[in-house]
Amino acid sequence: MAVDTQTIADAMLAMVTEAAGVKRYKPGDLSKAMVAKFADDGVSKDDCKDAIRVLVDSEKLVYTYFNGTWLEIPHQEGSAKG
Amino acid sequence: MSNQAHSSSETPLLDELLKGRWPSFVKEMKEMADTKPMVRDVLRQLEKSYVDKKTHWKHGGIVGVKGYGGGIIGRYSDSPDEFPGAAHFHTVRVNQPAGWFYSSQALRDLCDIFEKYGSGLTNMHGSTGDIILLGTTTDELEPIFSALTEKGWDLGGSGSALRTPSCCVGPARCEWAMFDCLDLCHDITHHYQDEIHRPAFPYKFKIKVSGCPNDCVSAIARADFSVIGTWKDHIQVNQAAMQEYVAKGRNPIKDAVLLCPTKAIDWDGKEIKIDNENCVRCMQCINAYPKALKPGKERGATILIGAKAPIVQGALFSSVLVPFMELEKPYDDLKELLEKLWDVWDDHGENKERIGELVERMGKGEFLERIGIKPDIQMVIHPRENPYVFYDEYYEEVDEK
Repeated sequence: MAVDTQTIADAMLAMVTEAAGVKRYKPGDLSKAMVAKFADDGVSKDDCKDAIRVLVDSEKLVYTYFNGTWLEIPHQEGSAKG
Repeated sequence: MSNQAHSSSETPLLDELLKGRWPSFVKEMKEMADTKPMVRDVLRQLEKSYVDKKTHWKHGGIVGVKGYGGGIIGRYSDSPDEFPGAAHFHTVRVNQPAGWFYSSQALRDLCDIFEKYGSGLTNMHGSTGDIILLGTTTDELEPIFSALTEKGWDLGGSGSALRTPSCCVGPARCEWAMFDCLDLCHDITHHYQDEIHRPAFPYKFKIKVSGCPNDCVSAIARADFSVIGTWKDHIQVNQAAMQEYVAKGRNPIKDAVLLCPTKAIDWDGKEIKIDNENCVRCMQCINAYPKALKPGKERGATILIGAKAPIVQGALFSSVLVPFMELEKPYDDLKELLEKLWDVWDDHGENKERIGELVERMGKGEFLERIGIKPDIQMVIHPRENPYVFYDEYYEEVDEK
């Protein structure tokens, strides 16, 4: 793999940030997009898993559940407001 | 508010449930309500739901512990000002041990943790198999997770992930276990930690493991991937033991022959005869005459795919994917198969499409081709309904002419 995990993570984060409030992405959507984007570098699904782990562990993305599991930028949702 | 004020007058409709013959959750919760404001507000909110005829819970959202994408089911009240104690009432799913064996100390630890950090309510095992702790707040999630892990517990699966694998009591308590289903369940739980805690599938995926065809965990009805113990060779017959049963008044015609789904067993008054080629390993005769009939010696499991038990659309039973697989540690064949299935599902599954639904949509033939398994007569679910099916060979023959 010619690109490192951080590069994939950054590309995923940019994708989620750009779509925030408009479209949600599932982890699988992000992986498929990265495998296509970095096809020449031979990025695999496992590399994408590692990148998602980096993003979630650093709290740049969080898992959410709204009729399916999504990865989103951390935010305070309406339901949680008192 | 005083205890008296929030007794029956606060929840007259719920109080009706106390009048029946059977114990009611209302009684227990009312007893807790005096010391747990959270429980009291849940009862009040439920009363409001009964009046309004609609739920006042909101489901989902950002609820979890750091690094995990599952294990916590978010519940928020839609009326937090009216019911502040029930504003957050998240469910914690705790990964249960294989076969549900606990020491009493482990159960005390669990109860103490949830008494301290949550409502103290539990319905013990949910239909997922996990231990279910009902009701805690977002602020208490990390502390409760730390306390659980300190005692050796972990969260279970939720969302679009591998759900906590579950199994029957297996060889620990049952003579019919065809393999060590407790060990398999434990092994795959540890091997697939990423798949459990970091949801990456199109939808949920459940693995349930039954040690024998009695299928005590209902894997065939509830699991996307059902592992059900079976045997490959012939049923072991002890004719003398069968005659003893008959001498004590048992009737093999009534208890076994007439109940055999494939008419594969016969009793001539002296001997039991089994047509093993046509036996479907249902266990009916073995359950009826356990001293006389035993499963064969070549043991393993049948792997089935695609069950689900939804509310909106019809339930699906799983169907045979691998008629027989030997299951020995480290279970490489099973893991290889699982990962192939996930790859195809990942590539072709739609959002919220269970793997069984994908198989139906794609067609089992194409699905088998994609995972590299050859079709087998034992995979047929029911006879073909449409006679107008033309196989590739037909077209090849026409072309040749």
